[in-house]
Amino acid sequence: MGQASGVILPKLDGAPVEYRLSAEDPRAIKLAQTLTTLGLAEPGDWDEAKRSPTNYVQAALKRWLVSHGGEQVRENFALNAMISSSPNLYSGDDGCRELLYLMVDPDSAGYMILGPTLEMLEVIHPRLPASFYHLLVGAIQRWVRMYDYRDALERVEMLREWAEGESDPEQYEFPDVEGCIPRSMKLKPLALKHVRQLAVGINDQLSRQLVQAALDLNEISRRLRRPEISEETREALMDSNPPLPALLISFKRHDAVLACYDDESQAFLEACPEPNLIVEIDPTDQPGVRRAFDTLAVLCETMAAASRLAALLPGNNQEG
Amino acid sequence: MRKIARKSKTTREAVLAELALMAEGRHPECQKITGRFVRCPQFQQACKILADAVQGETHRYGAKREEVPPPGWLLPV
Repeated sequence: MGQASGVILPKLDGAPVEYRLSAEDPRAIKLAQTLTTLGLAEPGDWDEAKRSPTNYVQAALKRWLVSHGGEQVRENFALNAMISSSPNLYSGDDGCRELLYLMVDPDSAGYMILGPTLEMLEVIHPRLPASFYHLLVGAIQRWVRMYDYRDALERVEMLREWAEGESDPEQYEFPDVEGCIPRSMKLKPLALKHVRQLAVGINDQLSRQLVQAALDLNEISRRLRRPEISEETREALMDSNPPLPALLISFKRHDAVLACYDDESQAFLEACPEPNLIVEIDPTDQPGVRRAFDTLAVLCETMAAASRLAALLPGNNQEG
Repeated sequence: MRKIARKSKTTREAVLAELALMAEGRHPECQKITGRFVRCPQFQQACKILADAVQGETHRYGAKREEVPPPGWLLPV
C-alpha cells in the first residue's frame, strides 16, 4: 500500500465540471470580426460555434468550401483546408505573431489514369492527346502538387545515379517509365486557340466533353494567381520536404509511373512537407482576407472541375 | 417526426459587438477564472508555483501531515 503524501485536497463538490476556456488567440478574434464585416461569416453560426471566435472562423471556412465545390472536390481528392497560427504545423514555430496562415494539404493523392483517354483523342487529332494532358496538368499544378511521368523519370534518373556508385550496378532493375509514355505525348501540344476550335467540331460526345472539361479547368485555374509568401514564412519552411502530391497521374493501371510513385512515397514524410497552398493572412486587413478567401475559392473550383473531368475519364474508375 | 430547423436570429451587429468585447478583454467570458488565467501572466506564474509546490510535496519521502485541514477539505488516502 502506498504511503500518504501529506497533501490535502479540497473537495470539488459544487465546482463546475467543465470550464469553457476562452483562450482565444487575439488573431482569431480579429479574423472573426473581419469575416463578419465582409459577410464571409454567417452570424447565424455564432451560437452553434458556442460563441467561440475560433469555431466561428472554422464554420465560415467550411461554408466557403461548400459553396465553392467542396463536395465535388471530395469525390476525387482528399484535401484539407485550415487556418493556422503557424506556417509549419510540425515544428511548433509560431510564425509571425500578427499573421495567420491559410493552408491546403492532401491526406492522400487522387488518382487519374489517362491512357484510354489519350488513345481516344489521338483519333481526332494526333496532337490532341498532348494538348489535353498539358491543359489538365497545367491547371492542377497551378494550385496543388501532382505526380506524373516527369517525376517518375526524375526518380529513375536518381536511382540510376545511385546504382552507378555501387560495385555491381547491373544487378539493379528500374521501372521502364520511358516505355510507358504514349507516343502521342511526345508531340508538341496545340495552341489553346486551336484546341478551342477543334473542340467545337468533335463528333464523339465523350471526347468532346473531355476536351471541353479540360478547357474549362484551364480557364477556372487561371482566375487568380497564387499569392507570394514572405521571406519569413519561406524561412520557416526551409527544412521541409516538397509538398505532398494531391494527385497521381499514370497512363495505365499499375504502370511504371505508379511503381515510381509507390517507391518515392515511402520518403514523403521523412521530413515535414511544405503545404500545397499557403496564404498569409493579416486578420485586420479586409482586402487581404478577401483575397485569401478568393484564392481558396479558385483552388476549390479548380479541383472541383478536375473532379468533374475525372468522372468522365474512360477506365478511370475500374477496380483492380 | 420531421424536425424543423430553427434559424438562429443572431444578427451581424450582435456578433460584432460581442467580438469587440472579446478583443478588448471586457467580454463576460474573459472575466471568468479561466479567462482571467489566460490573460494574466502573474496568475499563471502563481499557479505554476503552487503546482510545483504540490508536486514537490508529493515526492517528499516520509512527509508528515501537521496542518489541520480546513473544514470540507479531504485528507489524502
